[in-house]
Amino acid sequence: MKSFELAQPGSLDAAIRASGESFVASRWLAGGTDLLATIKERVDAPERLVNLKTIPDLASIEVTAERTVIGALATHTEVAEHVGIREHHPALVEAILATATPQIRNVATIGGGLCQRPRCWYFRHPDYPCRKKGGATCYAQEGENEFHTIFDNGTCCAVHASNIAPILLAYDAVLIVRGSGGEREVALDDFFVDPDDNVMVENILAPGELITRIEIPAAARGWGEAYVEVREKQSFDWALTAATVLVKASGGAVEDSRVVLSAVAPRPLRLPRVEALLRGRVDEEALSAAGEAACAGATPLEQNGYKLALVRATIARAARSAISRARKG
Amino acid sequence: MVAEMKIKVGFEGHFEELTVTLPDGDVPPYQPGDDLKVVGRSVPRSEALLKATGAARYSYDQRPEGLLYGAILRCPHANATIREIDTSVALAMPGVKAVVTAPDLFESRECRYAGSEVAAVCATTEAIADEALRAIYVDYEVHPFAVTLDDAMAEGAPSVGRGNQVNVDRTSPRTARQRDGSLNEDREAEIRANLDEQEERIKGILRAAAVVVSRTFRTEVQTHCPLEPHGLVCEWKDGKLIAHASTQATFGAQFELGRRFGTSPQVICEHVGGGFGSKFSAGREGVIGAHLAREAGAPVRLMLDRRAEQIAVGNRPDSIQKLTLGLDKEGKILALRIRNWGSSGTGMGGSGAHNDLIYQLGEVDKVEYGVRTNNGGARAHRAPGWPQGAFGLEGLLDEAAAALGIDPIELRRRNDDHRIRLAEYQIAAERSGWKEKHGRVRREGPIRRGIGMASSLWFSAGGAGAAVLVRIHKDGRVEVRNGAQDIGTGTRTVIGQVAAEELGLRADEVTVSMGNTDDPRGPASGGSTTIGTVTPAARLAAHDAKRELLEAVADRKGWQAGELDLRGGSVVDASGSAVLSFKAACALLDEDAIEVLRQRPTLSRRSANYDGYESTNAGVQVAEVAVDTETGEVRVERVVAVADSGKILNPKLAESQVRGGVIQGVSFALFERRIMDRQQGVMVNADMENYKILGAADCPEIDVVLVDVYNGRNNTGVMGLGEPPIVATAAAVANAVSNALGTRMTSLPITPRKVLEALGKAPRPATGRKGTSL
Ligand SMILES: Cc1cc2nc3c(=O)[nH]c(=O)nc-3n(C[C@H](O)[C@H](O)[C@H](O)COP(=O)(O)OP(=O)(O)OC[C@H]3O[C@@H](n4cnc5c(N)ncnc54)[C@H](O)[C@@H]3O)c2cc1C
Ligand code: SF4
Repeated sequence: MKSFELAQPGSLDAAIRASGESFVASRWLAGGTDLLATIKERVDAPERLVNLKTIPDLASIEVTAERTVIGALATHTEVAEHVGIREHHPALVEAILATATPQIRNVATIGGGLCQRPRCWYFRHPDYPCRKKGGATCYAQEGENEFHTIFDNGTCCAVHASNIAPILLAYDAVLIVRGSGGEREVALDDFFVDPDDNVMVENILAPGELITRIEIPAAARGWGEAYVEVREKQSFDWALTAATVLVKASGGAVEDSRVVLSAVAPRPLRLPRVEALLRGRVDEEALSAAGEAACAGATPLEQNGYKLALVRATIARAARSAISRARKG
Repeated sequence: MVAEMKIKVGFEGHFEELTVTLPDGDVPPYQPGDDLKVVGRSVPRSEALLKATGAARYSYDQRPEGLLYGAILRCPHANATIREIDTSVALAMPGVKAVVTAPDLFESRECRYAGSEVAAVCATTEAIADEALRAIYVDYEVHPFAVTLDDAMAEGAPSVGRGNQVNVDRTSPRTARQRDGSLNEDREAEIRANLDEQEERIKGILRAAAVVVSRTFRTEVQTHCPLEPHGLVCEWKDGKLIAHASTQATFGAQFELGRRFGTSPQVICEHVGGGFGSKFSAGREGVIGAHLAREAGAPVRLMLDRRAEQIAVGNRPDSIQKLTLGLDKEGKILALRIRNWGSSGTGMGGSGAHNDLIYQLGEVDKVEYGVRTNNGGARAHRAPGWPQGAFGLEGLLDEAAAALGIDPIELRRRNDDHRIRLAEYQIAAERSGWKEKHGRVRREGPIRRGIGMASSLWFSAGGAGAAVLVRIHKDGRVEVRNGAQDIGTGTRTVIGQVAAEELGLRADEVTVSMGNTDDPRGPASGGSTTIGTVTPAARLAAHDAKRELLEAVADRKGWQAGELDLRGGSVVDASGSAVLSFKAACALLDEDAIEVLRQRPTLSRRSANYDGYESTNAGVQVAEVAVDTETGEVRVERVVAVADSGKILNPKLAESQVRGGVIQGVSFALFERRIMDRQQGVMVNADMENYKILGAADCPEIDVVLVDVYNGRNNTGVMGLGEPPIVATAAAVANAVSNALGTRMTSLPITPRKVLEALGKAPRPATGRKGTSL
């Protein structure tokens, strides 16, 4: 692995300065569980790491009547163990507990979880100069693609692997982003970058910009929510496919719903078509129609056609569970 | 001179008398009803605390003064020839102390898999070593390659071998070839004629059979994944190599390095962080490390990284098994036809699947082929050939049972004459509730629960090739020394128990030293033979040391040595009363210590063990699984593992071996597989993230039942148990999944994708797709 400088700023401003100085290739260092792996594998070779953990107050978690605010440096464990989060955001807790291992969750941050690089094994291998690394070829398209995307895979078929992104998307979360030009708000839905637009990055952050916190409006609180993922192993493993469903129900009928599919596309996919099917009286027939609708437009690759069955299963299960939780309310 | 004696053999409820011949001077085997105080007890592993607290020092932990760090440059191409290699820039880098190249060390410019060794450096830091590797210039001539069985077996496949080596060759019976590799046509014609005749005969039997079942089974490559990687920390002192090698064959590594360097080294390996069969050789990394250390004139650490571990130091080969079984209507097996293929890398051999060795299978027509692929070579992997073979055979037996309407366990009983296994079927069936569960798949929403079983077989009574030194010091300390190593199976603890029993001491009053070639010879820890090879020598040495001590005591005290014994930490007289403490007895010694060195007693040159009871271990396992028919997820909920290994010297440690085997077997059944990219011939999951290994949450409840067998085959009667427990597990799990789904699973690992494909819920991709070369 290539040597690098480590900057240990004491404030956000100092951090932003350190990251932009004299055109060094710099990366934010949060928990380091992903970043250091990419450096060790020689997938990335930054000249400078700017440590965010030395900046005070980036890890706080606040749950108030209006919103939930999660500092970007809060760890997965801190979020999952927070009393207010447990009360109001059970699916976020579910998604976190399905992430990696306890040891990794203890250091991996929420900001890092949203910004983690793809796990595509060609991307992670130093000997494959694939498109995402500036090369001309996507090796997965004709290669070993059992764990790759079944949607939007014309340019790059690496999945967005984050467990927390889909549920935060379903919550309509907003990211507070800081850069040398000041602060801006970015709806999570606008955060992800389509590989057809720029295959080399996964999000819209400009160099020198970082996420400082994530705000979740209180609007969807009290809804029934569920995160369901399928994976090969129960001990730490990546999702083969996951579905997140939020429903607002009164009496027997569903008034409103939000559906996000993940681990199947370069970004978590919000599915308005499926949401429409999960309104009113939702019976088993509606659930299978929802699962079917979630598959529409899929373009599975040679080895991952099985993911369609998982889309159907996870959508139906997450919806069933969310509805029953909404009723128990 | 030999002595005959009558002994009891067998196991609870099945004892019989047998006359055996003992070698001269040996102690008679343990007998049922013997009043044993230490042997047969669950003594804790002697180094447990050291390992749990991190105090145990592995090869990796050795840090001699002035240590340099070695690193290996590996070929990125699946098949290439090194045209030119220039190390001058690397060698000139500050901090770099030595550079060697594979063509120089191994006299070959061929790189036949992505990951083969090209050059190596040692430097003052790991970072410098890593940078230096990148400064080495290599010009490769790149050749076409094949990395999967299908690709290498396809017509017109690129040639993996060199010269006249073919990709697919018969390994059993071996194709008749001349020394230069060309066909010996006359001899080959003879073999073919025999095979044709055998095939015709089997065809005839199959035509007459009441039921014929036929299936093709496939298994994938499993890597060893020891937590401590391969390699060594070594240094040259006064012309002698001292190698702290992570090995399961201290003397093998000593021999190999000695031959290479013309002077016998000392190999030290107090603790090994796992081997599973992959650490029998000093390996290229060992040779490279020793060369670097010599050239640099300083100690060198050369331990592999995880990627290299997954690629370059062995694996369990994959298999394709085409099986056809014919039975009569009572379920008696008449004939089995077997065609196997498997790849052990670029070489031939060692890729067989043992699917014809358990049960009485009638006439067997077996032909096995090796397939060369551009992959790192196979090595022994915990019961080599067995788990994959059991998967095929046991799957087919279940198929036959279903076709005949016979209970699977009953079908096996009808084709089995192993006295121990016949009893184990009963135990396994009762412990698992087989009768109620097998006939009825339990459904709960999308979940279906199934049950399956399989058997195992092993041969591990040990043999010649070990000597043990017992030293009783004047101050009462007792040392037991043997130079073989304990690869984590508990050998060290059990050797201590056997010696302590003879000396009337507690296990913790005896110190056992292992893993140092300066001590008496021991076997390579493989084939589950170590315990059966070393403990009889330990027992005899301790027994004879006791006699010497008692002679000395009798001499000093004017007692009759023949009337004395050691028990409960004391010298006891003919009436059994303590007359002197062990310590006080030792203090009477004239010399500083009594030293007794004994060879492993053997009957004759040809047969190491006496003709006792069953000469093999049996074993039966039953797995219960829950399969989610919507997601394809499989959970193994419970495994009943009935195991035997001769006399159980330490139930706790024996049970631990069984658990380990079951765990690794479940992992093989559901998760493990090497995934090769066919475009560049590279392993894409050479890590522990996408190369999936069972973790705690995937671990079933494991119910271990140990059958204590007095086999009367040597003075301890113990057999090894490292490998046997993995043989049946994957087969039992696959049979349970098939039972749950009502459709046969013919391919391991059983991933969600494969379950969905078997249920018709996911498309089956075409096989044999051609890889595109870059
Ligand atoms: C064995 C293993 C299993 C895993 N399994 C899962 C899983 O099942 N599901 C899952 O979702 N994830 C999984 N992960 C990934 C894990 O979630 C991420 O590694 C982790 O969340 C990254 O957080 P971090 O704080 O360590 O980030 P770092 O590694 O420090 O950073 C990751 C990236 O994010 C950038 N970054 C970090 N913080 C910020 C910020 N505030 N603003 C802008 N950019 C930032 C960094 O520059 C870097 O590019 C797994 C990881 C491992 C090692
Ligand atoms: S899927 Fe994306 S990351 Fe993977 S090889 Fe293709 S371009 Fe590279």
